[in-house]
Amino acid sequence: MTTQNILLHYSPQRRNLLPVIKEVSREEGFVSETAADLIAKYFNLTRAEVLSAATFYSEVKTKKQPELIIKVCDGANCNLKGSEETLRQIELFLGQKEGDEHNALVKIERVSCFGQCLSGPNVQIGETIYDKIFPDRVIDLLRGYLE
Amino acid sequence: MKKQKSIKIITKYWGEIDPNSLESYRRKSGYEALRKALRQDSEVILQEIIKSGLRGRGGAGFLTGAKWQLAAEKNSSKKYFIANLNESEPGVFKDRLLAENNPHQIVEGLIIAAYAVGATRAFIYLNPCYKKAKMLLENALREAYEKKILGKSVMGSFFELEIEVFEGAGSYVCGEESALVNSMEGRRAEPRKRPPFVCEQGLENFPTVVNNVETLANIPEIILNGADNYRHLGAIDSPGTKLFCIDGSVESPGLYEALLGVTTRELIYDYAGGVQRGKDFLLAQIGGVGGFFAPTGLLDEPLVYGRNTKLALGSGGILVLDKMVDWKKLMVSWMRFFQRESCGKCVPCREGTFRALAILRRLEQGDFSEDDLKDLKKIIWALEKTSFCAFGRFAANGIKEVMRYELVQDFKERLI
Repeated sequence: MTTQNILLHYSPQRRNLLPVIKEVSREEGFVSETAADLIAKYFNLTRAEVLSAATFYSEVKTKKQPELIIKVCDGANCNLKGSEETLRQIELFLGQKEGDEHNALVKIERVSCFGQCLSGPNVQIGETIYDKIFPDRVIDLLRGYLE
Repeated sequence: MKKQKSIKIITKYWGEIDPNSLESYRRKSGYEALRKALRQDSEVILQEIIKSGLRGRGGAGFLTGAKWQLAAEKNSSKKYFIANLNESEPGVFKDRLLAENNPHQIVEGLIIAAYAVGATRAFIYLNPCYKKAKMLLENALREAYEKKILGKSVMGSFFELEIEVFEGAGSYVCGEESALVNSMEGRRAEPRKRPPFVCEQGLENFPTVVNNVETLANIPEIILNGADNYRHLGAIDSPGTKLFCIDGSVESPGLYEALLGVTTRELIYDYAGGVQRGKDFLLAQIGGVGGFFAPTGLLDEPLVYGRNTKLALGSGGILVLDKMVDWKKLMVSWMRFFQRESCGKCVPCREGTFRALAILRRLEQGDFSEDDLKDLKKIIWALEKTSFCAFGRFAANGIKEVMRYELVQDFKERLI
C-alpha cells in the first residue's frame, strides 16, 4: 500500500501518527523523505517532527532495508544461554558483522528481548521468532532461508 | 515443592480458562467484580483500592490508589486510562503470559479502574513483539463489546467506556509512563519533566492513569473479596501476590506466583526446584538487568516494595547465577542493552552508557587500565546522580553491584 492509501485509513490526530509511520515503514520498507512530507502535510506537522519520531523507534526504519533481517536476542538471559556464540556463527556463515549495512540482502541486528527468555537463545528471521537457537542449529535454519 | 503457598490471584485459573472465550472466563466468576463495582459509586471503588494498599507491579511500587486519586480529583472533560503492557525488560515475560492465559482479567481490571477514576477512553499499550497476546486481547475486547460489557452502556449502567489496543514500536523506555504518553502522541519516547504528573496531565494534556497490567489484574480480586481481605495477604505495606520470572541456573525456570514478602531462597528452592545439579550457586539478580544482587547472605531478605528494602523488587525478574558466569561478558551485554535503549534525552545517560560500553569492551578484551577504572567510576557516579530518569540509575547499578561484591579482579583497587 502506498503512503497515500495508508493515510486514508487514519484521521489526522496525533495519536495516529505512530501507527501511520509504523505501517508506512512496514508496507514500503522504510519511511522515505517523500513519505515523511506526505505524512507531515496530512497531520499538519513539519517533516522534522515526523522524522524525529520515526528515527526513534526500532520498529520504524528511515533507510532502505535489506530483504532479510536477522535479529539475535541480546538480553542477559539469552546471553547466558549462549546467544553470543549463535551470533558469531551467523556472522561467520554470512561473512558479515552485526550492524553491517553493505549487503542489500541480509542484515544482522542485536535486539533487546522478545519476552521468551525461558526458551532462549531466541532469533527472529524475517517475521518469525525461533527459540532454542544454539550455535549448532542456526546454520541449518539459515540455509533454509537463503536457498 | 515443600511449602509452596497456594494463594493465587493472577494465575488462579490459568490453564483452566480458554483465553479465547469470554464465556469460559465468566464461568470462573469473571466480570462479577465489574458487576459489583458498577452497583456502587465510583468513589467507593476508589476508596476500596486505596484501602487495599495495592502497589504498582511495573517496578516502582507506587501506591495504585494514590495515583488513581490524583486523576479522579482532577476536574476534566476527559480522562484516559492506559494499561501498560510494553514489557521489555530482559528476563521478564509475566505480562505476556498474563495476556496469553487470561486476557479478560486484564480487561475487567481495566474497566473497573477506568470507572473508579472516571475515564471514558482506555488503551492497552502493547509490546509489538507480542503477536499472540495482541490477537487474544483484541478478541477479548471484541467479545466484550458484543456482550455489552464495553461500549455506550457498560453492563447496562450509565458508565461508557471504549478500550483499544495501541501497539508500541519497540522501545524499552516506553514502559515509563510519561515516555509512553509521548509515544502515543507520536513523539520521541522521552520521559517528561514532572510535575505535572501524567495522572494530572498526560495524554493530550488530559489526566491519564498508566498502570501495569499485572496491577490491573489484581483489581477484580480486591473488589470481589474486599480490600480488608486483600491487605492481609502478603507483607505489611506490600499486600498481595507477585509474579516472578525465575531463570538461570535453577532446575525448573519459569513463572511463579508468590505472596509478597517471599524470600529469594524460597523462590529458588520451593518454587523453582533449587539450584541446577552440578552448579555452584553464586548469587541471584533481582529485578532484571541492572537489578540488585542477592548473594547467600541476602537470600532470606523478604522481597517487598518500599524504600527500606535492600533488594528492590523491580518488575519481578530473578536471574540465578552460578560461579561459572563470565562477568565481563555479562556486563558488556548489560551495557549494550542500556546503550541501545537509552532515549538520548539527557547527556549522562546517552554518553555515559556509550563510554561505559567502550570501557567494558576493553575489559572483556583484557585491555583494561587504571585510568579505565577511574573513568568507569566517574561515569557510574554521573549516571547515578545526574540522569534524568531511573533508566540511567539502573544502567549504573549492575556494574556497581559487580564492584561492590568484587566479582571481577580488575575492579579491585590496585596499588601503584
